[in-house]
Amino acid sequence: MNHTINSYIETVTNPVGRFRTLERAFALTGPDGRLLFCNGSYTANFEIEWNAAAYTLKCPIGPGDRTAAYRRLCTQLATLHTPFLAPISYLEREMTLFDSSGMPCQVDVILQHRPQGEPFDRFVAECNRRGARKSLSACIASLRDIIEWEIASGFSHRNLKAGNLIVTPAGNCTMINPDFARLEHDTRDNLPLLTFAVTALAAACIPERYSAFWREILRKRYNAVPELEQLRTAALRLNIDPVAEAVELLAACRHTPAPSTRTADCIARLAAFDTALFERMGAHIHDDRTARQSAPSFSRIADLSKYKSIGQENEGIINVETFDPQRPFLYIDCYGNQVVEGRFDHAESFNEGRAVVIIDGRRGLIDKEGAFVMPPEFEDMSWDSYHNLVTAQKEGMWGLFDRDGHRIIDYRYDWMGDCDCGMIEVGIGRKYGYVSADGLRSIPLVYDQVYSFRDGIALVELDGREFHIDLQGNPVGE
Amino acid sequence: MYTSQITRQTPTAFIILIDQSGSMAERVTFDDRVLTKAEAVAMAADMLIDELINRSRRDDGVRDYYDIAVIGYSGDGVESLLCEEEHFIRPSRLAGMPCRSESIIRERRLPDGQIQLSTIEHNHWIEPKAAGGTPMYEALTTAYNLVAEWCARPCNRNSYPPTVLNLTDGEASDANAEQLLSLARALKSQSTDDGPTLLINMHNCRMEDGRQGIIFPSSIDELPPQRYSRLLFEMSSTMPLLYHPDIRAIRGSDGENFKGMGYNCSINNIITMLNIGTISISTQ
Repeated sequence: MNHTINSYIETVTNPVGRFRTLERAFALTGPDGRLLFCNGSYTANFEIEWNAAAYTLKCPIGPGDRTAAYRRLCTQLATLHTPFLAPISYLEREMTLFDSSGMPCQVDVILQHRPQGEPFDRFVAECNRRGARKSLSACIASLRDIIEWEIASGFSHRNLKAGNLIVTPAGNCTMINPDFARLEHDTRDNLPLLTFAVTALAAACIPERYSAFWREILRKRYNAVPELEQLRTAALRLNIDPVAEAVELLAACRHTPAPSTRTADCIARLAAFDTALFERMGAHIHDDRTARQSAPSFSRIADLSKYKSIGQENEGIINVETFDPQRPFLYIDCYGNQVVEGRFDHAESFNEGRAVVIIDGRRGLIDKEGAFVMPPEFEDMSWDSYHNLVTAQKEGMWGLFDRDGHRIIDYRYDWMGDCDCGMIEVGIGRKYGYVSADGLRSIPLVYDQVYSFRDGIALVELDGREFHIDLQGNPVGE
Repeated sequence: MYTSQITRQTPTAFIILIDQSGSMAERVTFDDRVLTKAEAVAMAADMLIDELINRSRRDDGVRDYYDIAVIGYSGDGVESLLCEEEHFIRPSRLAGMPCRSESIIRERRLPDGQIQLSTIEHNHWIEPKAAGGTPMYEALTTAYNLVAEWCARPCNRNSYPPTVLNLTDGEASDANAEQLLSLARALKSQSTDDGPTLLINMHNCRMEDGRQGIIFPSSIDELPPQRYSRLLFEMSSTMPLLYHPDIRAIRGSDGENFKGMGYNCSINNIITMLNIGTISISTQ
């Protein structure tokens, strides 16, 4: 079911208790008091602040369920470790939404760090206004680094526009909103990167005519204008052939032409250029450019397309499902090497060095070597990495264990819930209560319904009456 | 068919018909509040309009993905409810139009059992009204004329076809069944190259909220053996495949050949149907 933007707005404007990990996150508003949000094709994107940092919260709005595709994309992108792409995470069941009847549901969202800086078009316009040519030169060099990195890594953003390219205060470019990105060779980024480079060149070379150039080239990306010819002439005078060729290519563009071999070749030649090219260009027209650091090293990542499904990367380990009919699950690193011994019928992600796996329908807990901390003999199992606790079910009854598989509480409950404030919800038959995580204290199982503790207080229901109790089981607030 | 994406060059049209007859003064419970049906239906339409405006917000501003018309029908006749002078209004214009706003407090129970209050800004686009008869035929005729004119525009040739959403609590007072059926067929025959116009009828008569009406039935046998429910079934469009996942999710069952109708619906049913009927189509 597609979620409405109205329901997301309710949650981000009333965030208390409605986020699993983004506690105390709040939505940002503009000077007019309106929420800062806009939509992509498949997500509503809210600007939020969390832990004193700015993020974009990308909330799926359909149509269709793209959850698996987003999860896969985030996992792939997390393996890139590049400064050219803002960090992005997939958060499962992160947000509580309410439908029109007031029923809650928990939905997955994507959290993207929002780098400090300005969108490319605003940055270039501001540089032009201030005559900040050094900054423009640094920006062009950063674009060249991106091109170089894309060619080598195989990454393609596939939706590069001025709003999706942030120029940081240091002059480096960072891509955001990689919703359509692919980790396979695709020349779709060539033309926008070429456009950005030429636009920044134009701003540096002919600032007095820049506004017209910017409007025609960056916004409409068609129509040869006199400014392009000026730029081409300048490039030819300086014997900077690739720049002249790039300008010619843009001048010949109408609307958004399909990426051609010639465009790709021109980009490659621009990318192959030494940063001295831009220093020379800058020296001719304005002042020196600042020295730029060389492009960071990177490695080609694993080919994840050969797997049937891909889990979440945690602690450098990804759980993947192969097409093998027997024990299809295994764990790999971001280079595709199997890093945990063993194959499984199902494998969950690692958290704090432990993961739940299934063999022959029975669950067990393994460590990063693949050794069983708890053998695969349980009907059900849940690993709570935050509290270092395992709840496991055997012959229908639940018990509690530590991270090394040592038993804390014997199999005595029909049901065990989550641990909060050191207390775990438990049930026998139709009666519920709590037991402490060390197994030493309990609140009697006398209630008809119990909920998790929050700030030392839990809601319980007894004989149709709801009230709160403290960690000792005493009623509070009555 | 029904594969076109909604773009600024190829927008789609939503026409919402709202029954504002005297019977809409009856009370219903919605969101733990007792309201008239007219107020509750107006709120549902308000929420849909907000949703469509919000869906049109992109990084470069509010884009015109939709032509939106809201038409009320009552004893006073048929009238455009968003703007007196014209029927279709686009999101960018709606976003700039003055609109009365109200903070509504809703009680929410979180998954951990906590009760939290939500403060929700509700924009009142539609003024509730309940007066006189039910000139549904005249309203559908207005919708037919709007749809025919919209589909005839060359710029809409490749667009996703229009959707007409009819919210009513009773029978037409200005036509018989044959006339209504004939008009509905004519309305559904208007098309773009992407398919015929969709007509979705939502019948609301529940006095209490919280229980399921019959929504998107896949067979006439799901409906009570009443003449009126069967007439609405015949009048309504068969929903295209792209809506099926959401319809199955909300019905909690498999099936196909779902009809775009709801019978004996609660206000929540109506909100759900409005959402499915509008936001299942992707914008680009």
